[in-house]
Amino acid sequence: MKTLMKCLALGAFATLLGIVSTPAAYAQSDRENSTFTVTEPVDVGGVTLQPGTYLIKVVMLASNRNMIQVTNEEQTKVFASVLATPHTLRPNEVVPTSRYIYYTAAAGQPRALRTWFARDTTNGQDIIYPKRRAMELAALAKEPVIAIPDEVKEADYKTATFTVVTPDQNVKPYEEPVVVVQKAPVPVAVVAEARPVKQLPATASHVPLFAALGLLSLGGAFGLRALANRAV
Amino acid sequence: MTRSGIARWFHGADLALCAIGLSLLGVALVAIVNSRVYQARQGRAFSEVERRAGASASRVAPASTPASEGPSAAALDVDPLVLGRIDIPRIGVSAIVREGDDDATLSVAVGHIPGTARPGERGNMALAGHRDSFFRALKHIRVDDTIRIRTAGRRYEYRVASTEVVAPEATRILDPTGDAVLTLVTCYPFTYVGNAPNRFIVHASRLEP
Repeated sequence: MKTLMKCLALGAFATLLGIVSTPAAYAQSDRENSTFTVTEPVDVGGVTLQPGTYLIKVVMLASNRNMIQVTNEEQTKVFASVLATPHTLRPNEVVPTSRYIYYTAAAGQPRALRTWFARDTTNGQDIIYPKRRAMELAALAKEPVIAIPDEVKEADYKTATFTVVTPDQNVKPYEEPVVVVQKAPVPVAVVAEARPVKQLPATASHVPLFAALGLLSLGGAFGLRALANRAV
Repeated sequence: MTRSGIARWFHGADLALCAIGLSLLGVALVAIVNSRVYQARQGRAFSEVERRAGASASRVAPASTPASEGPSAAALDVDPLVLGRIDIPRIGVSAIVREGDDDATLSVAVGHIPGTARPGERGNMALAGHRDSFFRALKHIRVDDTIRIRTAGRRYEYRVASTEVVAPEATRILDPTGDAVLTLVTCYPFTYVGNAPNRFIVHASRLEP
């Protein structure tokens, strides 16, 4: 009994070590987030980020809006929590390589992030700006900017009303892009002609092997115990 | 060595083997639980995303009203690398599909092999899955079986055209095609512990809606 308890304790300890060292496939680094470095101040939803390295991620709020959070790499400090709306890809629009699209900026002014595409996805997020800043951006960039009232706080993000500021400083109601389900052109896959992979993926998990070895070890242990008892 | 010395030695070895055995079983259990939790969580999140996509697509008039439906953001823990879900109803395959074919991805989901067509694109979409978990039932697949791929708001149906067993180096099966086809990859033989010497391939063609 004492031996069994010792075994269980050792096993539990080793399992704990296994749990700690097992990489979670959807660990934070793999999620809809990206680490980015800016070398000059950048405006994200009305918040100016100073040069440095940040982590940007999406928090879903509702079908027509998400919250974009910018934190330090360790995610211990939040620098910005701003609203965004899912970007609707226009026909023939492709996801840019840079994945960070900015509005045109005035000389000496920080560039303002217009759209961010999470890596490995076609999910873009159009950043929403407080109305006053949206008016500046719309005039400078000569394109409409989605806005929320200046006084909206994070707690009101789920209910804040969107408007669109036009380049001539008019404010219009925001119209959600209509999702074209039927007549969208079928994109042709862009596939590398010279395939870099030399082998098909390994599709055997180690779970059965571990389980089999584990059972064998336990069987061996019981066998040894029987031998030990006989030797005494 | 005396009899009690031998007994002590056996006792020590017994203890060590017992600990190793329990540890290995523990690690296997953790891997299974991790996979189940991922599938359950992402399955729920994907269903919610599908529901929202459906609601948004069916909306006729432009909506400027604030949306308040659905669970909170914290509750909707969406993995952005999730592409959709694969279902093969006849053999009971149903799993979340995630971008990537690395170990971490394949341990929790069916993986979309990077560089091949994505759902909805014309071309060869290749998915890989573990022979001992998500794609275990592929050993029962038959020609003309239906394979369904669901992404947020879209559904694609494929019909199995053929199966084959190839060497791991046969990357030709990933080559681009002019038609919308689906290629499933898993290890072969199915009853093999460890890295299997071959790959089992399922070829399917998309049915036009």
